[in-house]
Amino acid sequence: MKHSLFTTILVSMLTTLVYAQSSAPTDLPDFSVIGNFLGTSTESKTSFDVKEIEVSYQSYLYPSVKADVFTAFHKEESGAVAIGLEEAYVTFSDLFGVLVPNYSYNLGLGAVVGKKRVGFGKLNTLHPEQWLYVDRPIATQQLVGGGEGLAAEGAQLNYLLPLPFFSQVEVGLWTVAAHHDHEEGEEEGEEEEHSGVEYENKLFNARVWNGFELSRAQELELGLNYLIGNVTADAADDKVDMLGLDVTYSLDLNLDRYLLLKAEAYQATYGHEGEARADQLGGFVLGNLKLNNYYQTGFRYSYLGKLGDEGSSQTQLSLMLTRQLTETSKFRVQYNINENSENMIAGQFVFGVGPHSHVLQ
Amino acid sequence: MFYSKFVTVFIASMCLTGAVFAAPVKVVTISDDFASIVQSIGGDHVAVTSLIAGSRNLHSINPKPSMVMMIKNADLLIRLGMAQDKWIDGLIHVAKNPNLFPDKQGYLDASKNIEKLEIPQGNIDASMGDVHLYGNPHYWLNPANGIVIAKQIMDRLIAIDPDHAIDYQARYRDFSLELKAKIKVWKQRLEPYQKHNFVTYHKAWSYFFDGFNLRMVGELEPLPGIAPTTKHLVNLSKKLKQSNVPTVVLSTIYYPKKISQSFAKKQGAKFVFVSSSVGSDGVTSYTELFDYLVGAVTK
Repeated sequence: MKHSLFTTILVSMLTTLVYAQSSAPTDLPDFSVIGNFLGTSTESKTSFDVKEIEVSYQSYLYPSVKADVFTAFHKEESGAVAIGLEEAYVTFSDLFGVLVPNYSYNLGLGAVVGKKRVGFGKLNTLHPEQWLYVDRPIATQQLVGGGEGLAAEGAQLNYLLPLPFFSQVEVGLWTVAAHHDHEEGEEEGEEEEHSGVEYENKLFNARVWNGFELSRAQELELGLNYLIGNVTADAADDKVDMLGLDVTYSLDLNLDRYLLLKAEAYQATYGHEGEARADQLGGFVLGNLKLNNYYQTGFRYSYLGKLGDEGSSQTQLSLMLTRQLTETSKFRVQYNINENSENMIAGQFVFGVGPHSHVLQ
Repeated sequence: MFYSKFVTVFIASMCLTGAVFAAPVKVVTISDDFASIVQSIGGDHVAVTSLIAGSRNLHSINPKPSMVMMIKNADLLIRLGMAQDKWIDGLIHVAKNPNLFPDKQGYLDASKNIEKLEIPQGNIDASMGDVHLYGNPHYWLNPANGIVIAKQIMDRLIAIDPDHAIDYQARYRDFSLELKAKIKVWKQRLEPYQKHNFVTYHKAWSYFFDGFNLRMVGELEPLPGIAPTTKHLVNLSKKLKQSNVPTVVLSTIYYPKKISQSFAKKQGAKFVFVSSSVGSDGVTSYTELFDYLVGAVTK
């Protein structure tokens, strides 16, 4: 599987390169490569990782239908490099129009089918090159898919409500593959250790995403999120229920400057149905200021509460400085001050080659 | 008898009401420059809004939900094109307006009929800076291209709203005649500057220089999108001194002012710091934009 995926990527790259040399029309997809290199240092450990190389293909299949495929060479926590599908989905922007082409009324119903990052909060849907930081907040890591994000296979329907302000409802039904892939050298029965909540089997999510234009320069977004999933594939009644709230405020300043304030809050409830269940709270607030074309600075405060009566709560304060090298490449330095673990300084280089875009999310 | 008169009056009043209160064509444009041209061609038959207000760096726009609301019910979306506004694709998907999907009647890439400048040859990569695959995208800054854009807008408005075709044609004729007359005046005013050296912060003014036969000798950025370096500025300064003609340093208001101003001062050059779009610095229309730009250069 990995071998064939690798071969496919290689052949596609070569084909694109060959056709790029000619001026003849082509029907190749938009092809891009995103690199994410990360160096981190704590008191006890220093490391440098080629964290991820993402190879993506994007193309329209029909005027209202688009395919996005994101494959990734990805470094696991164990150090092994995994090749996999990060996302691969088809977006139907006018589902009814595709099914009944002669019907011109805009129902506003869309669908996404395939493997996709689950729409729980705004952060989970973003790819690492879109982040304003080098790592995900501790609460998001714990509750929404670890260090990389929660992606699942299935379908999502979305509907833009007929209201005078932006309001989109999304519901998704997914399956999450159990994370039991064995890396080379890993013994059968030996599973990679993961921190945070793992989801397996079925997953359902719902999101209401609202946007309010306060002025031409100011915008406020408010998202309400719900997710229910199985923690293990074996016990269908072992569930996590999660509620989430996300708030985003953006302000366009003069001279191409930009202020962004963002917060997400989560409440997770774990346990078997019919038995006493444990709650866990978490969230983060984030501020980011684009100073000019070249520099951005920001802070992030993350909080993760204890699980029921067990363990202890954690906080983390992060300071970030980003130097935009070109439109598609940047350096970032981040300092994490952790309450219950070692502080960390991180340096990151992210680069992009080729046309690459994401849907507004 | 009374009944038939009533029906006639009723039908006539409905027709009149329809004519008077016919819904305008809802047009959304990427910037106020294109919105101004749409307004000139469409008059009262269009209701136009723009996604970006005023002079903004089109290379770094943050798409927002309010933009989705703008295009959700639009009849026509006019984009810059040349792969410079790919973020609009994301808005189209969320808005789910079937009129605006690529190649539909309500989707207009305004760069389509433009004679593009600086199209790179062969394979390109970022060692050349932020070079654009399809050429320099700042094409609205040549007023002659304004006429090309207006023609495409007229054709599309006629296709969407054929009842007002005569109005659109007449307005296009007026707009292009006015712009052609103005171009002659602007060219005359800028003629003395044709022997000057023009330096810009970013390579955003190529179409403006092309339109008015002005001489661009360099940019403060060593490569497009790359921040100015001391070495590059020293070399550029030497080049300007060798040519021994007056220099104008021209920069758009969203680029760092101090660097351009300081460079201009050291060269003894004229410093022009201006908006490159309608909607900023008091500029309210496409024609006014060139009055403003020509005025700023010749002041």
